[in-house]
Amino acid sequence: MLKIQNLTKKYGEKCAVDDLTLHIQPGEIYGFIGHNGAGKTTTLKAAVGLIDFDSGEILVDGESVRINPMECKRKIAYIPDNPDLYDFLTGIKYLDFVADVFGVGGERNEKISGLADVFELTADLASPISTYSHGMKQKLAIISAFLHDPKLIIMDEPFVGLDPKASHTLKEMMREHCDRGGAIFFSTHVLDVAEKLCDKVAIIKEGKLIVSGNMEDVKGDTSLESVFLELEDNDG
Amino acid sequence: MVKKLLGIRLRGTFVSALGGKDKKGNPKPVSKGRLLGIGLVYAFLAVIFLGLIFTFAAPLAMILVPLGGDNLYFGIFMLISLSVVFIFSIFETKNELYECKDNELLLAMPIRPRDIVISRICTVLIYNYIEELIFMLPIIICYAIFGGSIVGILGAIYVFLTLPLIATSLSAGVGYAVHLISHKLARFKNLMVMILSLGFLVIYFVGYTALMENMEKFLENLETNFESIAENYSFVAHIGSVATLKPVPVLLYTLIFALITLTTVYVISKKYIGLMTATVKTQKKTYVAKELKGKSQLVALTKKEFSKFFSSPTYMLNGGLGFIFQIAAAIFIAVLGPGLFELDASMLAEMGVTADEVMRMAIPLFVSILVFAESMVMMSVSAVSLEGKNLWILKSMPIFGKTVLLAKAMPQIILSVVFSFISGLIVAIGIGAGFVESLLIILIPAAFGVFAALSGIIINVLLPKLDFVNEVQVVKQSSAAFISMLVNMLIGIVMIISSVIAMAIPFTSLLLFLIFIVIVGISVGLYFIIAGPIAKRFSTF
Repeated sequence: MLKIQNLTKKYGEKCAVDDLTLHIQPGEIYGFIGHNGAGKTTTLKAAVGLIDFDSGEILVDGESVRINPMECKRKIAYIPDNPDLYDFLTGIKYLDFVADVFGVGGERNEKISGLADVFELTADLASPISTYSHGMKQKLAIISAFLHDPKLIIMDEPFVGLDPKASHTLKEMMREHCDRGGAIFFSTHVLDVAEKLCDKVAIIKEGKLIVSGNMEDVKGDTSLESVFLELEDNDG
Repeated sequence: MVKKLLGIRLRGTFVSALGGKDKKGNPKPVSKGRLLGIGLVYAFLAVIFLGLIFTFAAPLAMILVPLGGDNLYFGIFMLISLSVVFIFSIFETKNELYECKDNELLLAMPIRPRDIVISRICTVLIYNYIEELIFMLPIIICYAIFGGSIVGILGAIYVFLTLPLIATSLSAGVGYAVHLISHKLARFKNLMVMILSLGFLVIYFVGYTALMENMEKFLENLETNFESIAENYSFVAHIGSVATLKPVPVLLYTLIFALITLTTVYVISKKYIGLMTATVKTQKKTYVAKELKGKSQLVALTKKEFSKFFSSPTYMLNGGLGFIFQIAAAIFIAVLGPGLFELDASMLAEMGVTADEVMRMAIPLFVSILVFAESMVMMSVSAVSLEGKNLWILKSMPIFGKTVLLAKAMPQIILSVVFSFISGLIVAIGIGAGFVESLLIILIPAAFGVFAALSGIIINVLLPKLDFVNEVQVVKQSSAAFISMLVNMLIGIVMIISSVIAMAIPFTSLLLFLIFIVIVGISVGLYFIIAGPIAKRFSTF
């Protein structure tokens, strides 16, 4: 579903992502772990087509992000680390806007009400987004991501700001999405969540991939946290 | 701390507005060419305004200074300058003080609210000093040319240094009151800010018109009745005596200015945290599910742009004020137009034309006036920058850059067509134009609206300001806004001058039709530029 091949992105002299290669298959929840500034967000943004990169290739369902960005974006939903949404719109207007852009058909009403109910946001849909808390904005961003049934969902720290119930709901939805053949690639610092939720995991440090593979293979008999800390220390 | 905060704010306002991005979207340093180009534009604008003030100050200085009316001369300009700077900085100060995105961040740090308030006021103060410099420089030069004293020049410099402080402090005080009221009436905030802003503008224009009307009479009588006029305007002369460094007025003025400035800073600093952290009580609107119908991407994006425009009083006022001017100009032409060219029968006979023909010959001038008024509409030139931190939404969606940019031009295009229709109709009915002429009176301003909207998008993509901390930086202070205003106003002025010259041409409708075709042709060209290189550049943001 998502092939990142030899991705390199530099900001001036600094190499944010260095020759990174990852393959995310349909049905997989793929966790992306690393310290602050390791290159996670840069990788995710490049995969969505938000930033250009220096070398390498990114394919979404066989389409190149560089050559055919529109086709790729139709198949992707993206949730950034900080959900800066249109404050001047109400929640329902924002969702309607997203549905229009992605061409969600007649079933949009049912989809919106279903997703808003699941995240307990229905009562607030008529309020301007400017009145929402961080968590409510995050919920709205998540609802908008699931609205057009994307094949691939790319999320940057999706659990930040969510209450425990919403976190649980999101985890269930992520699993259901992958069970239906979709794929999820997300970054997180919550290693317990990654360990329980992800099928595969990749650990990145200073732009370079340190380890990747099936969760069981990566963590072995220990915990993901132990592996991560050990890798960080060894490399340091 | 004030110095640091001010430095951050000024860097944000000036440096990032000038800097560009490379092909990969990384920031690149300001190029000398860009710096020079933008500098020339600002210099050109400054020269225009300096010239305007000069033509206003010279006749007064010529009469008053030789007669010993230095105090009256300075008094008049001190009052005008104070009013202009005060009125035009009220909402700027309000935005700068209370609506900056980094307010909470700064208040969470161990920084005294007083330092934040002073740094914010100083930011506006710098703009006010620039305005004041443009205002006072011709006044001082005229004073010197017509025999002013060294003391008067030194006093005028003292006034120049202190008057912006009073104006800024007063505007900060009124901005504080406006913020308090809009906070209490949160539901009607936008409406209230709009009404207040328009109210201040009406006061300004009424005052300006009255001043212009009285100035002529004032100058006529001044030479013959100087003594009695000076007596009638003794209050103004007392104010002006500060500039001639009379000890008591200077002392009083200094005390008043210090009192106003210190009180404003003290009161706002004391209340600042409370104001910034107060929760707005609004009645929650219950969501009632309604059938949502699918729309095209362009329609959805255009609706979003309209929502943005109508949600921000700052954007509405600075971007859409030209529409109000356009309607006002239309009413002015419809009411006064026929009277402007009332020539007596003998003159008409001498010219060999009828009254109707004279009116017909003036139609290009009326159209140009409508276009000039419309040239002050500056919506699209801010639309890309105002996307700011929300840009990721559009960039992560399957939308072509040209669709996004066209949608950003659409509100200005749609409103231009609507207002051009209304204003054109008013003019056409008022002057009794024929069908074809009426159609052209409507179509030319509408076509210009399309041109202005598309050119605004191009300018904004070339000079984006996405990292703003308040919207004033984009809609009022950005290079894009300045350049767009300059380009559109120049076109309006050229059209007015050309139409006056063209009054001798009998083929009015043909001329207007040609103008229409030219504007449409240029607009089509602009569209292709947007769809091609500009959309490509936008994709690098």
